[in-house]
Amino acid sequence: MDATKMTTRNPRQPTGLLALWQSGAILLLAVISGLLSNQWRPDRLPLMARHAPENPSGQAAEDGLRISVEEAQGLFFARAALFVDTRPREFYELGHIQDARSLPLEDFDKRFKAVLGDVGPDMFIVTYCDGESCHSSKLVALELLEKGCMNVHVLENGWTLWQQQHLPVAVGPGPETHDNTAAY
Amino acid sequence: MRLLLGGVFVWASTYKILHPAAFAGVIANYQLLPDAWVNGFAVTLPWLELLLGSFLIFGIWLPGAVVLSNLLLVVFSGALLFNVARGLDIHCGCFTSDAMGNPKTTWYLVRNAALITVAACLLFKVVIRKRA
Repeated sequence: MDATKMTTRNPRQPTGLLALWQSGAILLLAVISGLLSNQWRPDRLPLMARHAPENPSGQAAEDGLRISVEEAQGLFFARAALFVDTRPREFYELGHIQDARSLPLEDFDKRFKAVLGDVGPDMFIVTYCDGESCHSSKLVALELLEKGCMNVHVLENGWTLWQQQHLPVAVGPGPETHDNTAAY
Repeated sequence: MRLLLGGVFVWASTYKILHPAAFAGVIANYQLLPDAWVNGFAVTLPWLELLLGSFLIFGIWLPGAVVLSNLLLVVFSGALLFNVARGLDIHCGCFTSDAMGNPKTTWYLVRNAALITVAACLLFKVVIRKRA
């Protein structure tokens, strides 16, 4: 069923029309293959998921949370803050701020205690993601405030800025998480 | 030419098929699609690349595969250019979902331009010249 055979079978069919229906058929095949393979894989991706909500709640609160990369750098070198990476886990493993812990927005409820169970409510926490309009760092920061964390800050566009400043980074799964059920 | 373009598409699809969540992150970073569409694209787009690549390599449904390859490459480059124009410095996510290092946007655009040239030559050979 190659192109030559197709053309031989339909000698009068214009190439444009042929290309059109073939494109449609390839698109359809791709959608079916993608959906079926996703359905059967163990790490199935939900077809509807939250990535970057357009209207994150608490805009006013967010404005007071932002810190500059210089401030974040100061906290980092003074070992005065815990950095929390809110990007998807895969991105974290590809590279993250040194000693940062991974707490993606979509896993917040499930992983909060395991990731931050050993951290006191007065600890300085800096959340970050990547891209200037990435909202997950702000949303995680707001969730942390709700959980009782008192010193939460957001480093906007954190991952890009951190790398631009050539600050310490690490690759891989990162530090072990702490499954402490006595979280505040 | 079709083997080259097909090989590139197959190569580009493999990492994305293996790591759909990371690829969804890349698509979301482009900030072009509604949130609800991101994961759907992340699971189907790599398969489109794989099918296109295989069809180009094995010469199956060539007119359709060539037209679609051209369209896809133009859309990819358009998305990159659009984000450059609005000052968003993002990783291409064309072959991996690796977000390490600073995005090499100029390189991404040059590479896409080269691929579009190859795809356009194929379009001329397979579709336009045949019509004439």
